[in-house]
Amino acid sequence: MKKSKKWTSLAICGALVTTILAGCGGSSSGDQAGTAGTTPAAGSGETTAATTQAAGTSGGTGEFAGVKLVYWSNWESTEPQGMVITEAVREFEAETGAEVDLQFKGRKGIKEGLIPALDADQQVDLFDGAGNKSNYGDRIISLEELMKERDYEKDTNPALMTLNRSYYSDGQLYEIPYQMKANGYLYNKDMFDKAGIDKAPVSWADFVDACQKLKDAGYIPLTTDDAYAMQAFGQHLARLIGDEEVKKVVNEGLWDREEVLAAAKSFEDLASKGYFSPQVGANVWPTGQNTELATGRVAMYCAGTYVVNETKTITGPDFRWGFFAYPEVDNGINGQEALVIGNQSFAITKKCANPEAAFALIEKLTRGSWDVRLAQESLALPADMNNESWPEQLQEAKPYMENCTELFATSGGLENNPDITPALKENLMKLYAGTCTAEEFVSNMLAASKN
Amino acid sequence: MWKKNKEQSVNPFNLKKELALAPGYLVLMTWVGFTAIILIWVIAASLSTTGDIFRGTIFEFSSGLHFENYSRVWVASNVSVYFMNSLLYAVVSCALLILVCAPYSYVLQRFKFPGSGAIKTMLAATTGVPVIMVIIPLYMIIARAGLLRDEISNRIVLIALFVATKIPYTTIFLMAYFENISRSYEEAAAIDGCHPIKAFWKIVFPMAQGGLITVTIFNFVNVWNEYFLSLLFVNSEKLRPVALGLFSMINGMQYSGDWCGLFAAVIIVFLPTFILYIALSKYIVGGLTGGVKG
Amino acid sequence: MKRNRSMVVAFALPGTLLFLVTMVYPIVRTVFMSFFSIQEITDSVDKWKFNGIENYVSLMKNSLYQASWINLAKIFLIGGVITLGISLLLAVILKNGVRGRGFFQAAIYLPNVISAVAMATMWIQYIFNPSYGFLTKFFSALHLDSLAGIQWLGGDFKFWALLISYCFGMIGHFMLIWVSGIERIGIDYYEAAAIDGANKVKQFLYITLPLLKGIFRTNIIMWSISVSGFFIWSKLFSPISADTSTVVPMVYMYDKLFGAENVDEIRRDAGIAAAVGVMLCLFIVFIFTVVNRLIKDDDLEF
Repeated sequence: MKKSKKWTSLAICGALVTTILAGCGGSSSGDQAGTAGTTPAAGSGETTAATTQAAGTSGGTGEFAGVKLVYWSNWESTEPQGMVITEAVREFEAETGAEVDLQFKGRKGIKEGLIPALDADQQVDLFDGAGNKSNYGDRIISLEELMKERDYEKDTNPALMTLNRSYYSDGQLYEIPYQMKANGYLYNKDMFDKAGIDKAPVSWADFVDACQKLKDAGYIPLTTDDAYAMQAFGQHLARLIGDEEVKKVVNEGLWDREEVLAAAKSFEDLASKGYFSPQVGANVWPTGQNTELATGRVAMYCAGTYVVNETKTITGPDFRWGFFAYPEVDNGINGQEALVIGNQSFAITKKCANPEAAFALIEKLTRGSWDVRLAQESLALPADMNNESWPEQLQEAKPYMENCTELFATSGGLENNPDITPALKENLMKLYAGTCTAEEFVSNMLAASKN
Repeated sequence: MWKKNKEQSVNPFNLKKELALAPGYLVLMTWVGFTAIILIWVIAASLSTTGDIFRGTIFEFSSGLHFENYSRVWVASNVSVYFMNSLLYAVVSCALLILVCAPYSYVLQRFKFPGSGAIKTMLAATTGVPVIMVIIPLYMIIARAGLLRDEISNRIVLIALFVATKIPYTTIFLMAYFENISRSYEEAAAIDGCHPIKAFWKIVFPMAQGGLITVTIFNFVNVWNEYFLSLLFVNSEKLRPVALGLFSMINGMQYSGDWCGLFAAVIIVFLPTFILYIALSKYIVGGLTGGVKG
Repeated sequence: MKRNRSMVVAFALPGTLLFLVTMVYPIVRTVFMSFFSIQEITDSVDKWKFNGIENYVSLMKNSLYQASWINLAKIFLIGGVITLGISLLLAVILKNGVRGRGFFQAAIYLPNVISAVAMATMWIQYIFNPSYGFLTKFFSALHLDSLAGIQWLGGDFKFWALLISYCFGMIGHFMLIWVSGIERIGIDYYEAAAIDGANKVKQFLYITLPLLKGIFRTNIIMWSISVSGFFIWSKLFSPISADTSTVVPMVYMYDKLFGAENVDEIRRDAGIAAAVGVMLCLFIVFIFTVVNRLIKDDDLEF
C-alpha cells in the first residue's frame, strides 16, 4: 500500500514537470515564430502603391489586391461606431482590393483577450480600443514612418498627438487617436436660459453664481455618479496645484496639504448650500447620468463628452446640451486652457505583414467623410481638424478643445493610484452629499493612505 | 411538522392540514410575489424605452409596447446560429460531465485509495482559483498547437474545456449524494455476484437522480452563460455561443445607452434556460417519490 | 476486493487525468507566478522577475486588499447564514406538503437563470432607487418614513444593498440543493421510522437533519466557492472603479491583471494577481478542511 502511494505521487510529479516543461518550451518557440513574423514583407512596390494612394488617387485601383488584414475592434457590431466602421471597411475593400476580416470583440475582448491572442500567434493586424496602449510593449509598431510617408499628422489636434506620444518612453507615436473626448461640465442649456445664465462659467465665482441662479429658478444645479466622483474634485485640485502634484498627493498620501483642504472646503460649501441633488450620495452609475441629468431633473454633471452619446435615447434629439471646461479657481496655477482630454485609438501589431494597408484603413476611418460619419453617429468629437461639422450637441466643446494648451491626466491625476481610488470615491460621495465635512474628508483620506 | 412525501401526494384537500401550513404559504407567497415584481419589471423594461426605465415610468407604456427591442436584438445578432451552438455545447458537456463525474465522485466518496485524500483536497482547491488563471495558460498551449484553426477541432476543444473546468465542482457536489446512499445496496448486489461497476450503474446511479439533475441544471446554466472561455477560444462567427454573442452586445449597450435593448437581449438568453429548467425540475420534484407514487 | 479495485481504477482514471491535464498545469503555473513580478499573464518565463514573497507581503499591507477580504468574510459569514438559512427554510416548507410545489420551486430558482447584469441593473435602478424605487414607495405607503428615506446605495448601506441582492439570487440555487437532498432521503427511512412509531418532529430531528449533514457540508463548501468567485455583482454595484464598501479579492485581482480603468500609467502585474488567486485557493482549502473536520461523513454507516 505504502509503496503504491509513493509511486503514484512520483507519477503525478513527473506528469507535472513534463507539462510545465512542455508549456515553457511552447512559449519560447512561439516567441521565435512571432519574431520571424515581424520581418516586414512589404516590398518597395507596395510602398509606392501606398504613396500613390495617399497622393489622392481615387479608389478602385486595387492597390492592396491580395492583401489580407485581420482587424479586431473594441466596439460591438450593433453600436453606432461598429456600424459605421463596418460600412467604411466594406468601402475600403472595394476600393483597394484588400480583404479585411473585421471582428467585433467588444471592450472586454480587446482588454482581456488581445494580448493572449497575440502571444499565442493569432494573426491580428490592427485593432482599436481605449487610448494608451503602452502595456502592449513591443507587440505594436511605431507609426512615425507611416505617418510621415502619408503626411498624416498635420490634420490632428497637436495636443492629442502630444498626449499619445507621452505614453511611450521613446516619445514615438504608436497609436492613432480618434473618437476624442473632453472632460468638464455638461449642462442643460434650457435650464441655464431659464435661470438667466447667459454665459458659461469661467471662474469659480461664476460657477457658484450659476448654481445659485439655477437653484433660485427651482432647479437642482449639480449631480454626479460614483464612477465619476473623482473628476470634479480632481480637476479642482489640479487647477490649484497642477496634475503632477495631484498624482503626488494620491501616491504619497499627502492629504494634509492645505490645497486639499481648500478644495474640499469648496465642495463642502456647494453641498451646504444645497446645490447637489439630495440623492447624490447614493448614485451608482448610470443613475445620476440617466435618471437625473438626461431626464432634465438636474442641470450640470461633471464628466466627459461621451455622456451625450450614452444618454441620447433618453434625452431625445431636442435636448440642448452645453459644455464648459472646469472653472478657474482662486489662487489657481492654470485656467480653462488646461483640460482633460482623451481618445480611442488604432494601433498596428508587429505581426502585420502589410502595415501600409493597415494604415491606409486607419486613415480612411479617421479622415474625411468617414470621420464625419463616426463623429455624427456616435456623437463624439471628430479626429480630423478639418472637419467643421461637429455634432450639434458638442459644439460648445470645440473652442475649449482648440484652445487647449495643457493636458491634464484623467481626473486631473486624482485616479492615479488605484489602491486609494476606492476610499477616495467613497469619501468624495460623502463630501458631495454633505454627510462629511472638509476636515473629516482630509482625516479619512489620511487614515486610508496609511499602510 | 414533517410530512411524508407519500402522504402529501395522496392526501385530498384537508382544511386542518392546509391551515397548519398557512405560515409556510405566507412565506412562499411573499417570496414568489417579490420575485414576480422583479421579473415583471425586467420584462416590462424589455418592452419599454430607455427613457421610461430611467424616469421610473416603466409600467405606464406611454408610447405603447416596444416589441421592436426584440427584433432589433434578434436581427443584429445571429441568434439562431448562436442558439444551436450553445445547445450543442451545453448538452454534450453536461452529458459528459455526468458520465465522468458520477463514477468519479462515487469512488472518491466510497473508497480510500492512494491519493484519494489529496485528490479531494485538490478538487476543492482548484474551484477557488479564478478561472482566468486557468484558461489563459491553456489557451496559449492550445492556440499554439493549432487546434483552433479547424472548425471541428475548435468545437471539440471548447466542449473539452467546458467539461474540464466543471469537473471539480460537479464531483464535489455529487459526493454528498452518494454519501446518503446506504452501502447496503451494493453489499447486497455483491452477495448476488453482481460486478461493482454494474452495481453502480444499475443501482446506485439511479438513486442519485435528484443530485444528478440538480447539478446538470447548474452546469447547463453555467455553460449557457459561459463568457470568458468562449471569448478567448472562439474566433469564428459560426462557432459563437449565445452568451458570447449576446453578452458582448449587452456590454456594448450600456455604453451606447440602449438599455431597453439590453433587457430584451437578456430575456432572449434567459428563455431557453428557463424552459429547460421547467422541463427538468419536474424530475427533481418527481424524483424518487415518482417511483413510490406509481 | 479485487473487483472493487478494478472499478476504482476505471472510475477514477478518466476524471483524474482530465483534471490533471487541464487544471493542474495552470494552477501550478499560477503558484509559480505568485513569486514573480510579471507584467502580462502571457509573458514567457524569461521575462519574469523573481520577487520572493514580496507579492504576498505587499498585498497583506495594502489597506484596499485588506478591505476586500473583510468584505469577503462578511459576505461569507453573514451572507452564508442568510442564504443557507432561508434556503433551508424554503426547502423544508416546500417539502412539507404545500400545494403547487413545482411552481414555487421553479419561481424561487428563477432569478438564477437571468444574467447578473440584468438583475443588478434591476436592483439598482428599480428596487433601491431613492426617488421612484420599490423600497422607497413600499415604505412610504406604509408610512415608515425613516425607512423610506434610506439611501440604500449610499456609503453606509451600499454593502448591505449588495449583500441582500446577491443573497436573494443565491437562495434559489441553494434551496434547490436542499430540496434534492431532502428528496434523496428515501421514503424507506420514514416508513421504517413510522413503523417504529416516531412522530413527525422526531422524524425531522432524527432522520432529516442527520441525513442532511452531507448536503449541509456540501452547501458550505459550495457557498465558499461562490463567494470566492464573487466578482460581477461587485463590478455592477461599483462600475468602472472599485469601491471600499464593495471591493472583493477577485475585483482587486482583475484590476491587477488587466489594469484599473482611468489610470494613465497602466500598471499590470500578473504576479500579484496570481498571489491573490493562490490566497483565494487557500481560503477554499481552509474552509474545506475545517468543514470536513467538523462534519464527519463516516457516521452514516447503517
